[in-house]
Amino acid sequence: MGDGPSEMIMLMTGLIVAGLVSAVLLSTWDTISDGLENQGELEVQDAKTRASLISDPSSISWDNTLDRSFIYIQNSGTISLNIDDTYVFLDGNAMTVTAIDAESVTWSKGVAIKFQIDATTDLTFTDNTECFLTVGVSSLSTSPTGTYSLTEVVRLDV
Amino acid sequence: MAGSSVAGMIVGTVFIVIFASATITLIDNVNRAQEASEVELPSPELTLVSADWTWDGAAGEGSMVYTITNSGTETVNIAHIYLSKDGNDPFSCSTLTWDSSPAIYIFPGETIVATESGLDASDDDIDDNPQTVFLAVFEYSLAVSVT
Repeated sequence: MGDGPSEMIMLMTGLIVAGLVSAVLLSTWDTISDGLENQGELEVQDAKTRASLISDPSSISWDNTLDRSFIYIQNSGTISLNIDDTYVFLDGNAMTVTAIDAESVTWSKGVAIKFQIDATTDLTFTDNTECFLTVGVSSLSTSPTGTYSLTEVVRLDV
Repeated sequence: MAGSSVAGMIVGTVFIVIFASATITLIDNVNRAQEASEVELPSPELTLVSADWTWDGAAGEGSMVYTITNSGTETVNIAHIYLSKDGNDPFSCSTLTWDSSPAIYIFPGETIVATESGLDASDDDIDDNPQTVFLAVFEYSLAVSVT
């Protein structure tokens, strides 16, 4: 009985310390878990988001007067893509991208979209110029948004 | 003495349950993070066996006969296959007239033949004698010379 109060104090102290340590550990654990969950969902969305160039890369038409070209991009992933979130770089130059005849079209798996790409500055190429074409796409779903970009060497038919 | 031991056991058990639950959640999320590597993307493999061009001088138009074999292991929807001649606009194979009906899919090992007729320079923006045909389906592509 004489040991009772000190024993209770020790027990209570131990429980408080254990509780505090547990709270810190669980908080850290929860942060790691949430991070893994978010990262996992993002990686899955990224893996499902794909696109490919179906225009002949050996002959991409280019108009030096209008600074314009047309390319066809196919959704080669497994989820729908956001047409309005497509971006294109030609030879390192950011292009203005306009989807052609794509109103009320869902860019689902296998569907190809024609894009008009216009240079924002004057770009003059010679015939058979070989340069890099980079196309970036995003998934239609936004929780989270999957992204993908492809880069191909193309030969310009001026 | 006995009371504090029982209290300690109860609290310890509660902690164990909480940590076990957190561990299960953590393992679930680790497994979910690994799902990205399990995503199966389309990986068709086709062979454009030939593209045969015939020009009818009297009619002033030509026709192209495409022979395509599914040399992969996936069944491919014809609508997902795109062809283009000499770098011109690609068109879906579903717009062609196929020699078999219904021709919606090409199964592994199957060869199908399609004809594109009524081609001339003015209507189709191609030379009268196209040189190459480019086939693309998802991330697979190839080109052949026209014969």
